[in-house]
Amino acid sequence: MTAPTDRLASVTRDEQDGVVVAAVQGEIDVSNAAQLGHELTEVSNQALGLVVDLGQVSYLDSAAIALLYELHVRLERRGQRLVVVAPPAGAPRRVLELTALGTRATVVDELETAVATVRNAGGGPPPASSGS
Amino acid sequence: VGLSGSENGIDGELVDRSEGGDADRFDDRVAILLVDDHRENLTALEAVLEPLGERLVSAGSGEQALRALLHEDVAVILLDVRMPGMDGLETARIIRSRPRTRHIPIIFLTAQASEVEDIALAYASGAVDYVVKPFEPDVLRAKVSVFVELSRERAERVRQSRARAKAEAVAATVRKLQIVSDAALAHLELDQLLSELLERANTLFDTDTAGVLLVEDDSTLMSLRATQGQPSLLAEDEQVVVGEGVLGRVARQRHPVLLSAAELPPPPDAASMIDALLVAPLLSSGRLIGLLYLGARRSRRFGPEDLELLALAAERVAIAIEHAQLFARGLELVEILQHSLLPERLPAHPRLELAARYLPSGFAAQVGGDWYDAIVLADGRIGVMIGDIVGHGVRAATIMGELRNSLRAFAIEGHSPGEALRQLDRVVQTTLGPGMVATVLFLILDWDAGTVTLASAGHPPPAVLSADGEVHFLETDACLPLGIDATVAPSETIHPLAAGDSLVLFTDGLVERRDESMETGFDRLRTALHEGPRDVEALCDHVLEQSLGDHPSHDDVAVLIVRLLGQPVGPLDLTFPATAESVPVVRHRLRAWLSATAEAVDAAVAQDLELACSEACTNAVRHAYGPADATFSVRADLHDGEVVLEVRDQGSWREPRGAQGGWGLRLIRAVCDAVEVDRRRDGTRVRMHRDLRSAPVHSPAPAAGVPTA
Repeated sequence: MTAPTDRLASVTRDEQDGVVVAAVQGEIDVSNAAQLGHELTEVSNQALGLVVDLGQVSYLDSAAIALLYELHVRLERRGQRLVVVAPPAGAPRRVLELTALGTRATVVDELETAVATVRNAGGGPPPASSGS
Repeated sequence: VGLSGSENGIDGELVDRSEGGDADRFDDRVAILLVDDHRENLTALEAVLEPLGERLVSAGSGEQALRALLHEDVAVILLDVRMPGMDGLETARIIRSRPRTRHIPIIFLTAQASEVEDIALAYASGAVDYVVKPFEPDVLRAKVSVFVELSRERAERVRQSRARAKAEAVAATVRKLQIVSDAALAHLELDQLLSELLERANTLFDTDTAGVLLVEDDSTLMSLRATQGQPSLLAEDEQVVVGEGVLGRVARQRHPVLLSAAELPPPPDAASMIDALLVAPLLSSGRLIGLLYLGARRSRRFGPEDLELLALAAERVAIAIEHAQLFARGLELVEILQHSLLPERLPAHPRLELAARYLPSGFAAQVGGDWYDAIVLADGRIGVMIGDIVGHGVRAATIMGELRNSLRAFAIEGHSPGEALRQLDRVVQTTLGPGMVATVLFLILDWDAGTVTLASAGHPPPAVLSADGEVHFLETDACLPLGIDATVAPSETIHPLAAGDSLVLFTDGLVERRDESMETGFDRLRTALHEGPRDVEALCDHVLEQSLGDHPSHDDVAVLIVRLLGQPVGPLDLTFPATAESVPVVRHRLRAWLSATAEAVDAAVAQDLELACSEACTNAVRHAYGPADATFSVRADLHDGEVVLEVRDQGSWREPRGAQGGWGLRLIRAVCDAVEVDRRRDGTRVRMHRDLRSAPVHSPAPAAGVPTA
């Protein structure tokens, strides 16, 4: 990992109502998408799924779309749910819409909605800790 | 460009030209001349050189090649040595002997490596290189491309030296025109003045007849006031109605016009025939006061430069008429002089707004020597100057005129501010005599660099008013006024400037009141600028009003405001290694360029451009092949509110495959107005157009948040 000051983007892991939330800050492009992909895969929890919060992302492009799509496919294979948070006014939202990512993965406006969506997700494996 | 440029005076014209040149550079293909007597060889050469994207001109013999060179500007010649009839060596000798083609590099094509004497002879007859057939396509292409590049550079140097020559011609013109507005004319009666001016105009333009029509008081009628030379265009008592007839229509226009014999009313007899007529409206503060015409009897070709010169001459003539009329009304000579020496109007410049005011001293006898000037230099930089002669009256006003013209000439010659002031000090010391003291501030604005370079000889520092209302005074190296010590050269300081900044230059009359410290005056100016209106003209008035108040100034006052508009900073031109790490760097550079280039770009539009650029760069990086040090280049230019973004690489555009593929180009197409992908053998060029004024692109897709199974 490069020094934090050199980094175009960083990932912060947080947990909300038993759901892992990965908040990305900065810019996502071809130069850091692979690295971010690893980091996001690492934080995805086993139980429900993953919320990726793009609220603090000032730039993203097709490299990020590819990364999110791959993440979506990988989690789906494990029966997990990926929910992407992209505020309607933010820069990422337009790119998500233009590439129609929303028709594949789930894109929501707010973090609360995302967390609730993951918690209420049906069809996935039962909650490991919080539910039983 | 010619006419609208001339309307702005010399200065506008120079800038228009340089910008035009810049804009065209991309599409300038150069010609490569291929000479071989075998058609199949020519075809092979064409196939090898076609990827260079230049214009290929083929000739089947030496004679054909020489003919082609008569009307083609060729960057490099590929010349077969062995040809029937005139062989390559003979052809080369003739090419070398013609001045027009002497400089063109020749690459000889020889049949065999063993033709040693051929090679020696080839170099002797002016070859720069030779290639042995059958040639290596890559080697040949590389060699030719080197000469193509050299030719481009050479053309650029020629263009620059022409611009330089033009600037020098302009300086000469300025000096020439000075005769028309020299002080000696100021006290002439109007009729004397006009006949003197018309005589000089006939000499200046090499014309046979000249005349001035003046608008009668408050009417649309113009009558002939003065003529010089033969034949006369109009009868003595003939009147012209503004807007009617050939001359009346020119009066309506704001620029000079060239009329041919066919456009003129038929003359009464053959002796009165005028073959070509230059006509210019005379304007004073935008108001039509008359018409100046110059006619040539014989066939004489007038070019755009004549119209430009005429525009300038008409401007001076209008000023002279105005002043003679003022003089006739009994105004003070010095005041007339003062006004005649200040620029009638400041140069128009697409990236600047300029406004200036001059207020004579409140005490009639004390007309002083404050002056200012602004000039657009040949390279698009802008020279701005302001000065103050210590002293009053005719002498101060006359010296002011001398200093202004000298400094203008030094600026046009390309001297830096410090050097120009050093030269000006020499003028003051040697020609103006002892006891003459002047303060001068000279600065050069470089929009491309975003800097102002300034030198001051004892003059108050300029203020900078930023777009958000902040005011600060630029530090200048304290230096003596001119005329005191020639051994102390003014030094230069460089300061950054941003779009929206206004430079405020002034003379000390603005900040000096008898009963208080200068500090108080500076504070008052700071407040006036901070609170003033945004419009530069209104700001000038506001500053004068606030600074002077009801106090009659004991000194004259000059203020000049230059606002930097968010207009083109010049194209962005970057080349980076074809690695992923370059992509964010390019994006950030584009972001900075855009904010410096265009004012108030919608954030979403800026994001669109960053996105398009990054996607194209990402593709260039992903598909770079060839040597490990492959590069890609990005060029962005702004024209008429449209950004043209070009990304070029040495690889080939490949659409990513699979379900997740194709997003890059899809995004580019979604956010740009037009996209051209040009796949060439030697690389891919993606050219994207985006109008900054059009609304950001919105997705046609339904609002997200609709989860899908």
